[in-house]
Amino acid sequence: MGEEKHSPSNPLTQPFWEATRKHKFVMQRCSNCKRFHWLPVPRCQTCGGDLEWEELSGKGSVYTYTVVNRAVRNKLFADKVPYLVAMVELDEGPRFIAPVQTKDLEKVRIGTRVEVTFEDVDAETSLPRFKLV
Amino acid sequence: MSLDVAIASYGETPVSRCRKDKGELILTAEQYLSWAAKLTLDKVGLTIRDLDGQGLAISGPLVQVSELWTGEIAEVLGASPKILIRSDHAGASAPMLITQATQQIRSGLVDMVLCLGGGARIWEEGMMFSPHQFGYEFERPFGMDGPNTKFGMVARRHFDLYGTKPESLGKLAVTQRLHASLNPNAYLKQPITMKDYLDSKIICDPLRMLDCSIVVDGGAGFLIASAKKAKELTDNPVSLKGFGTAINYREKSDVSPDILVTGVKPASRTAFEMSGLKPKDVSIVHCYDDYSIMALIQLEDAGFCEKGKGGKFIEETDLSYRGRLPFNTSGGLLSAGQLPAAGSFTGVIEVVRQLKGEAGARQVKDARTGFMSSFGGGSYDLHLINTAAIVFGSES
Repeated sequence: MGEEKHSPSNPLTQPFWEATRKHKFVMQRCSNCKRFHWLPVPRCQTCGGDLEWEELSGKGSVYTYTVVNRAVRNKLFADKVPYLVAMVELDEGPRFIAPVQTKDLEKVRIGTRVEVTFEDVDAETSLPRFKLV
Repeated sequence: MSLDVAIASYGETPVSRCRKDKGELILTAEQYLSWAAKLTLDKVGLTIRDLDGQGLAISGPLVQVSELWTGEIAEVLGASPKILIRSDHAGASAPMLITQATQQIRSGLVDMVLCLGGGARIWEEGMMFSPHQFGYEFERPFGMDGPNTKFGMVARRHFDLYGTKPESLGKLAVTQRLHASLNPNAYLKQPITMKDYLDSKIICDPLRMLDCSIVVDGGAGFLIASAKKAKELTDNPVSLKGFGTAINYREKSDVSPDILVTGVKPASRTAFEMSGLKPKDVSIVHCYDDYSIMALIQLEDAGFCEKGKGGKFIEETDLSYRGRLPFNTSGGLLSAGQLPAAGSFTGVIEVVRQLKGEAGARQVKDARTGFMSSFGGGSYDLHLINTAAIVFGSES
């Protein structure tokens, strides 16, 4: 079974994790065609251009979500049920998945406005989360 | 058009969840594949020696194996084929192997290809590890719990955008369990009611326990051959009428795709076009149902109903083996069981079995044309990675 780690970085994804440590939310953007990418990829998937990491507004709308009542395999979250995890369409275009931190799960619907916040899980790791705007 | 290729035979081993207390089988992947090969070959009077100089195609077992595992399976079987084909298409393995085997047969390189799938992932390592790595580091630390969460999200969007109701998915679960009760090889045979469905625990809202497949160990196989060879081997070959595939299809936008439309849309269009047939000509349908919502979405994408109307269509249509559109007559992955990376073998084999008229108590009357579709891999962004569709016919 896989090792449970919060931020298992590799050379491709390291800039993302380094930025989150400083509470900055970044994604790759093509220096040529300006397309944003998420997940991290080696080259622009549209034009083959070079990618540069760029900070995003962190604002977006819930594209879809689920309330997890049973986390079967995710040991990091098994004791957090029920929790709500959303796929958020960021205002810049790409979609990012993270839990929405709210006590009132009923407040979250498709289209609900959210923004990125950071959860400091240990001395070296800060994880992006969403909160209601 | 005629592709001059047909399925001559098939075989399925019993399935297991390795429950010793229930007297269930505990076998290795190699044992299951060898057993499936024997069942498939016996049915048409062949032995493994008849595969000498022919083709052998294997679907990976979804647990870690050596990089020459396909050759090792040939070694275990004692087979000496001319070509080896390996699928790592997960849930789309069977139609992808058919697609590749068809090219080899039509080119004249071989007359037949034995396709095998299945394995023993429960026995080997407990429940499945994440089936793909890309994006994995951005899933678990963010609350994702594998496919349950992904397809819960897909279902949520379908429910909210199109007004799809739990009862529609419930009807699939209930109907498929009825089919499983008539399938001696199904893992879950006890009939269920709509109340059972609605009472079943919500896992990832809105998906319930009974919306999720039941994972099993086991083996499955089929023999695909030139039309000429197939006719020599059996009185009732099932012709390949059309096939289509799509990899990493994203509807509308690469950056922000519509996740409620899958690669089964272009794949099924290609398959139907090749066959000269339309959804209305089809007598039986088998869609990959690792989650009930995905079966519903494939019904839409393949054109059996309009996009967004899947729920209504299911509610208004008798999908049982006696109904207007017999659907997942094996019981599907929800009830018959999901073989490791070989759930699509169940679909191919059930359609072939029905078109051969060998489905016993759940036989569909006058089944002439069948459609199956499947997919392997729900990506981080919720598009499907490997998708495929096939149209079969009982006449050449």
